[in-house]
Amino acid sequence: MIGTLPKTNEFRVPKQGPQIWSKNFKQFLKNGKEYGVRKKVETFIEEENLHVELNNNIITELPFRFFEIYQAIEKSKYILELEDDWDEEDSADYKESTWKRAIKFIANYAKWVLEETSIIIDTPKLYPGPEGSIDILWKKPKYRLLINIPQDSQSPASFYGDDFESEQIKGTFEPSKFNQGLLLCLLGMR
Amino acid sequence: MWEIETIPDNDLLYKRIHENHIRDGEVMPVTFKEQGEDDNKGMSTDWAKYSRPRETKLRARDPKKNGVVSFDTEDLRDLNLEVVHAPIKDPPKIEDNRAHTHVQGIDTEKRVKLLDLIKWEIKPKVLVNL
Repeated sequence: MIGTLPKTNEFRVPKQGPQIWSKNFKQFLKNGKEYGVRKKVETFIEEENLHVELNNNIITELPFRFFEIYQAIEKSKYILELEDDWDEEDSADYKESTWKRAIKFIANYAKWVLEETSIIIDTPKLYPGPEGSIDILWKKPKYRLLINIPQDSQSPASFYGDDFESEQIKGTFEPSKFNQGLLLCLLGMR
Repeated sequence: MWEIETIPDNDLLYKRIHENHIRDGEVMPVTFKEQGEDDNKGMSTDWAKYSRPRETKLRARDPKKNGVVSFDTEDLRDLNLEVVHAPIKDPPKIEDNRAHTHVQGIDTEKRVKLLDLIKWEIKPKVLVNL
């Protein structure tokens, strides 16, 4: 079963069957922002996953409820098009492997938090970082958190977060492993 | 060679921000990064004693693509950043710059906090009409 029908009529399920419905639904999601019904859609479909692809390869999957995170990831693909000296300050370009590590971290982390707590994490912004690294930034009214995924896969990621007052968290971690300290930071400062 | 001076608190430092360091109207943390090696490593800025915002902008490779922000040196030192006057005289390829100053000690934490200290002196074109 792919999902149940929405109570609203913004999206019609074609009679041809689930496969066409699924294909149309993906197109519908792409246009969802224009229709302004994305939030409603997210509430009734959970089984179908969103695929983050690069060069026709699936990098990771996300449940539909992470549509905003999926959008942020898609938007960040421009980072891979930046060339050497893209800022006229001799900055390096970005390797696919670094971007993939950043994306996998976000996706795995979001899914893990959902599984453990039923909470959907805020959507971060993905930016080019220094020396070919990727920055993942949450800047919210109640907290801010910056995670830096380095170009060198052997180096740990670094992070800093605070609640704009006395609560701070800072350190390094291995991006491929989940980190409860970061989890607490993200959840505690919502 | 110019004398290396001690920069007092409350003096201003000017820093260029390239338009590619701005995304969706917001400055990205990548703009705060150290360059160079060893003692010459640091984030390049210009001391207001010897520079004006427009002069700092004109030192860019393509000034049209850059804006200029200012920082109070006391605010930087409050973040435990080092402010080191590093005048440039007779270098290969680039012009002399008596105002040149390094800000040192930038890490992930400082990059987040520096975003809060930004005060525009000259906005880049990408922000002017927002």
